[in-house]
Amino acid sequence: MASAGSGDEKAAAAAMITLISSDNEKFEVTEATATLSQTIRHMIEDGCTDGGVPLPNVTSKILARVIEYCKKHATAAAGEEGSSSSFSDAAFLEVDRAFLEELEEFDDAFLEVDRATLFDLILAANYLDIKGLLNLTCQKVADSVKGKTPEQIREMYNIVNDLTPEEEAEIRRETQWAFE
Amino acid sequence: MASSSLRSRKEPVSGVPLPVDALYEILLWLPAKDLCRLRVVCRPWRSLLSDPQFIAAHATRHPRPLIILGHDKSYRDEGVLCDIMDLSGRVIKQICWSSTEDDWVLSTHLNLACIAKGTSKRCQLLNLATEAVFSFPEGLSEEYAPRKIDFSNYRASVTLGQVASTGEYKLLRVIDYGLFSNAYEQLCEVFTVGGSSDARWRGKKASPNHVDMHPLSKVAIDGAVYFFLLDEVVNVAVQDARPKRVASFDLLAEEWRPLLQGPIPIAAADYNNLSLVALCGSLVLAHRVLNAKMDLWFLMDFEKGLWLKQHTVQVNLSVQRDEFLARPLVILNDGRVVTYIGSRGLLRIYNPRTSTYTDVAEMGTRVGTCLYSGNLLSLANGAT
Repeated sequence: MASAGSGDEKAAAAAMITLISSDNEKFEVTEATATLSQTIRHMIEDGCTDGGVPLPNVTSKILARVIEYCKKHATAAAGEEGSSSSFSDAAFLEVDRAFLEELEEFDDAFLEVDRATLFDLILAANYLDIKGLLNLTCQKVADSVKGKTPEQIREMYNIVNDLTPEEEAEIRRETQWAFE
Repeated sequence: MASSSLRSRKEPVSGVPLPVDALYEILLWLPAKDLCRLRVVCRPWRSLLSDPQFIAAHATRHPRPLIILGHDKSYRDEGVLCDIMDLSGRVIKQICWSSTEDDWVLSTHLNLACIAKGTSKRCQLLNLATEAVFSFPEGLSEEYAPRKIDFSNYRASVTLGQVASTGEYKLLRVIDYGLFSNAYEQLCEVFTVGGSSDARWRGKKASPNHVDMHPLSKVAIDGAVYFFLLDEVVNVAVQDARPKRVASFDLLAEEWRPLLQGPIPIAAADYNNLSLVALCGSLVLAHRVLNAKMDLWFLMDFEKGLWLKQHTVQVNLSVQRDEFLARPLVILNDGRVVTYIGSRGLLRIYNPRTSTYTDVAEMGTRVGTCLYSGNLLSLANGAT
């Protein structure tokens, strides 16, 4: 089968996959976009994508965002394939760099969502096994956790402390340096 | 801007729980110090953050290796024993240490460090992750006690190693005396860490050939402690070049093994340009040549005495003084050699391919600088 990076638009267009969200909305995407998800890549390899791929864990709202991410990054992947070919002059590398910067800007803007959406994106990225999206979203949450006290974390995420005072004291004693 | 509109646009402060399935992935991005602190958030977080699998995954995700920098002997920071630093020069952890003595790091293995308490004859074992401390008994072993010798006139060289087959940690101590008399003698003692409560220093047969007790002339690796032999001072006038010889003590059998010949003949005058180090899991003899380069000879086969020169590093240090010399600490995956330049406390990374280097940090005179191969997330129940 022709790959999306071959430049043959018709071949690429022919390989369309239908993704079905939990609320039954259908999304048509190219195979190049869909295979950023390892989960879907395996389904395609196993030949079980006819009639659409149901994704009962992902709502249409989140799936739309995930597809937006995949479309952008699938183009980036195709661009990388191109750069490894005969084009290696300075002008081409310049274009490449500009594209990477654009991609970074896209990622930054993509992360401008509320916390609930961010968590849903993490769960979707985890379920669909999209490494780049999982790293991007997890790092964003990790940045918000960095430097916080355990009390602040419990408040931020509604976590009930079920450790006894003795247990808590012991952990603090064991790694006292982390609390200084 | 009206505060009410600001509030309405903002998400609620609490109420959105973290997705449990992704907690593992999220927490992997945080530095060790944050994670140690977050163990007290709640029970599930404690289990996750203490899970050996998580701890191992965290070590692969975060920049390693880490370097232990002992404290500055001349400008000693009050109560600081050492800093644990990454290769960008960032201090990840500072080990604070209240002591009335002048203490320093003698030897390390994974999370364990052997600390001299004012003298290398009295030492403690410190877990660098948990900061648990174990004190070794003072004085000489029972085997040497009948000699009724005054221990205060002695020097000791202490090395921490691990028995490969059992995972047991052992301390090898070589003691010498008679420095100012004709009857120079070396003694040898072993201590098994984490053994029975009545564990003690045990006297062993000393090396038939005197070993060099200088910290750069010995190293523990793969179940043995290696030493350069002490130079025969009588032969200084002799100009012939001979390979430096290496003695080794087997930590499992607790006996000295046959001598090993160094890779190439070297003039006796050049012997102080040699040091023994452990790199990439091998014993390495580092040979500094005219302060312009450093050859790293890897021991390939102990039985056959086979060495292989695997790296040559251009060093170009202008000062011909021992403490200025470069000492390799670790070789990175890309072949760059992390070296420590003694008296300036300079951490320098050489790239042998491009013959260039980058300085990471200049930290002043430090004692006991070495590689930290442990994991700061480790807990008391595991030495690693």
